[in-house]
Amino acid sequence: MIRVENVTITYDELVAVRDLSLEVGKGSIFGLVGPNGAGKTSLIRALAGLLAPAGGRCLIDGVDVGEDPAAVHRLIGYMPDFYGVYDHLLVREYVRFFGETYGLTDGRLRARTDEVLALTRLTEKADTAVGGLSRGMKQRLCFARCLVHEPKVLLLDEPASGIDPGGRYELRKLIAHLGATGTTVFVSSHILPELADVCDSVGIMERGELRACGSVEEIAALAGAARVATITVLDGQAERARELLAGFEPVGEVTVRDDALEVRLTDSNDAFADMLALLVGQGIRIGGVTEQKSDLEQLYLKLTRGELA
Amino acid sequence: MAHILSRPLITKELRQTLRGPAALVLQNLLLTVAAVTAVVACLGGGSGETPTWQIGARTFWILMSIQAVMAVLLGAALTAPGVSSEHEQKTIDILRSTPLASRQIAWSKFTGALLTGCAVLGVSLPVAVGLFFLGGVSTTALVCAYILLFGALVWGAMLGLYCSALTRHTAAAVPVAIIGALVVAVVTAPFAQGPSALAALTPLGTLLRMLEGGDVRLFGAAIPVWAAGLLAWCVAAATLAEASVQLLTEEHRRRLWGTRWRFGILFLLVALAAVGSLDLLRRVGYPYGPLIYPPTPQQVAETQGELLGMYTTAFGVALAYVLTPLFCAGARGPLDGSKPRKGYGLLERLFGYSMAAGLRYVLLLTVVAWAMSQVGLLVWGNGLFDRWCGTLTLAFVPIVAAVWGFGKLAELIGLIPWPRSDVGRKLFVFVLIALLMAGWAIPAMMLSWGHPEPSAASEVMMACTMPAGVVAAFPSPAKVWASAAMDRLAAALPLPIFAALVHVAGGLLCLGLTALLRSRRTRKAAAHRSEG
Repeated sequence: MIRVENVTITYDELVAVRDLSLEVGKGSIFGLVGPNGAGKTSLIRALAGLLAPAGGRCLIDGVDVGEDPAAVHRLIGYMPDFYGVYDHLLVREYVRFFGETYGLTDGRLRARTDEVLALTRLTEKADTAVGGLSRGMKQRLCFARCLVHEPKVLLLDEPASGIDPGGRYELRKLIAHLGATGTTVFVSSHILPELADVCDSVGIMERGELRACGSVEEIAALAGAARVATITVLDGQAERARELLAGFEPVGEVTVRDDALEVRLTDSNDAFADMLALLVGQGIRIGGVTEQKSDLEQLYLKLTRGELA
Repeated sequence: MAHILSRPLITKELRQTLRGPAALVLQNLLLTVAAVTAVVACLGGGSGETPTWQIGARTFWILMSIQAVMAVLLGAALTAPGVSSEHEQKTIDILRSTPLASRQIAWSKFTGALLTGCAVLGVSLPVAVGLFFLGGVSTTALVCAYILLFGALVWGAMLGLYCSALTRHTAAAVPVAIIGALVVAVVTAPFAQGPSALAALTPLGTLLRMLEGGDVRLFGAAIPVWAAGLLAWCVAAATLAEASVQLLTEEHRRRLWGTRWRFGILFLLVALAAVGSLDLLRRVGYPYGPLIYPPTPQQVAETQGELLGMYTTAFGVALAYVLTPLFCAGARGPLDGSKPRKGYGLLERLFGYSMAAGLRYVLLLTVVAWAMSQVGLLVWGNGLFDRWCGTLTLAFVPIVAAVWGFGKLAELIGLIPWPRSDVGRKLFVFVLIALLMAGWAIPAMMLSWGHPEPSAASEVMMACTMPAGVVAAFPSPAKVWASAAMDRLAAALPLPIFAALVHVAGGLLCLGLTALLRSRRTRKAAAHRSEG
């Protein structure tokens, strides 16, 4: 549904995106992650036809964005990172205005307006001036505006920035709902956890380049030491256990905290079992084991620090 | 037109501009200037011997001059925030990611501003129509003057849009557009006369040429100078429009050369069509001469009608008092926090409630004033129209202004605390009406004090202009009756007290009707709730 082919975006001397290629399938929810200045917004603007790449091309549903931006605009719903609203319009008028620009007719327009307002829980505010809405409501309104013409592709640039945790939770639910209904969602963020739950694939960008791309599991595997276990050691033998694990190859970093060891090791069940066997075999009594998978945040930090490149 | 203009965008622009306090400020400013200009110009109308048509002609010229300058500045000020505000509000990307083309965005913003400008300029129509009662102003002059104002508005609006697209900052675009319009007007002023009039972009010079007459030759056709100026403005505006479109388009998609030759062909076609149609008008006998002139005897006969002004005044006052509560006092919209009514009309949807009410009111009043003048001409066409009648007519103008101002204040109600109790609201409305009526009645009273009865000499002069063979009762029986009635009234009550009583009575009537209407609405709403 979305294909980016060797896209390079420049601003005078600055290269914002460098020879980037990626593909997002129909109905996928793709998360683009990266620090500020990584080139995420430039890429999304190029996909929305608002920016011309210096090289390469972007295709949405097979349509070249550079060649036929008007056709692409009908396919997409675009939500920029910084956006404004028209304060003097009523909420309903605001949504209808955008619906009309997409050529929705009266009956269909009315129905869609009601639907998206209900979806974004703004029905109660339909006859309120936009200027009187809270920031979270404005965010939802902007989202409703993106959905009014039933776009095949949603391009969301930092949609959750500046809203409270409750708002983020609602937004994630909305994105997941849209993904379930077959809409392709391309969402960027510099906060990874907010995407981890909803995205079925993720790309990590830094300095205009795609450092990693694939499903969350694939990236975790790519990152390697992605499994973290906390082992409670009895009889005050935590330090000895650390020394034992230091010579055990699948284990990476080991940290001692009181009677517990925090161990990072290769994401493999065999390695995990061998580690426990080693400790028990050496007479270390284990009081308990808790395991957590390394979250995307850790991977993201590693990737953007260039540790895994 | 669909690929040039976008109806939703025009509607959005109108809603944005007309719902804000700026619309109130602009309209009241223009109306105040127009009303004060008319009153001052009439008060300074020379001695009692001066024919009323001369006063009318001069007042018309002053009024239109001021409006011409204001039209350019207004046009520039209305469109200057058009594109830049989208940049500043961070809405431009959202707009550009819709199927709207740059051309649609630019032209729709321009059209929205133009319609707002027309609504603002239209406020002065009742004042201008009022000048018919003084004479010296023909319908042609009025129509031409408003076409000219429209042209000036177009030019100013396009300049503003161009500055907006160029600077992308409202704070820069507004002063640059206004100063730019003034500089261009001054620089091109010397070209306003003669064959180079096509280069003139000065509203004042062109207006003067219009009133004094004169033409230029273009491709063998004679074109009135004012029409040449209009053509020049439209061409300049179209050039700026195309430049604005290109500025709105992404840099890599700008097609300067392609646009230029297409625009050149378009300009040529428009120019040829304009010249051709003007030549056609000349051939069918359309007068190109000066539009302000001493009236012919026939016109004098037509513009006479001594009771006309008085009747129109009386009717206007009554209408104002009756319609005010209908249109204004009950007008509250969603923008002041209240729930909108179900099934509200087209204008209300477009402008917000009280704005629509105000527009309807002005349109209605203008039509009524015009209709009444036509009836008056038919019935009292052989009477005598003099300054006494004119001054009474002019009292009509401030009252229109008062009602309009009140309507706009009602729109502002959302910005000031609205009393919660029913009694408080009624009192608030009453105080507003009383204050406005009192304020606007003062010029009317001054007019009535300042102008004595006309001398017999002017009556004789007017009578001498009657066409030969026409026998007019002199003075007409209607005037004899009206004068006697007024004399009796004046003897009984001093005029200021009489005027004050009329306004207070009107205010009470207005208050009563408001209370009645609101109470009916409240009852209906209660009944609806209980049914629910």
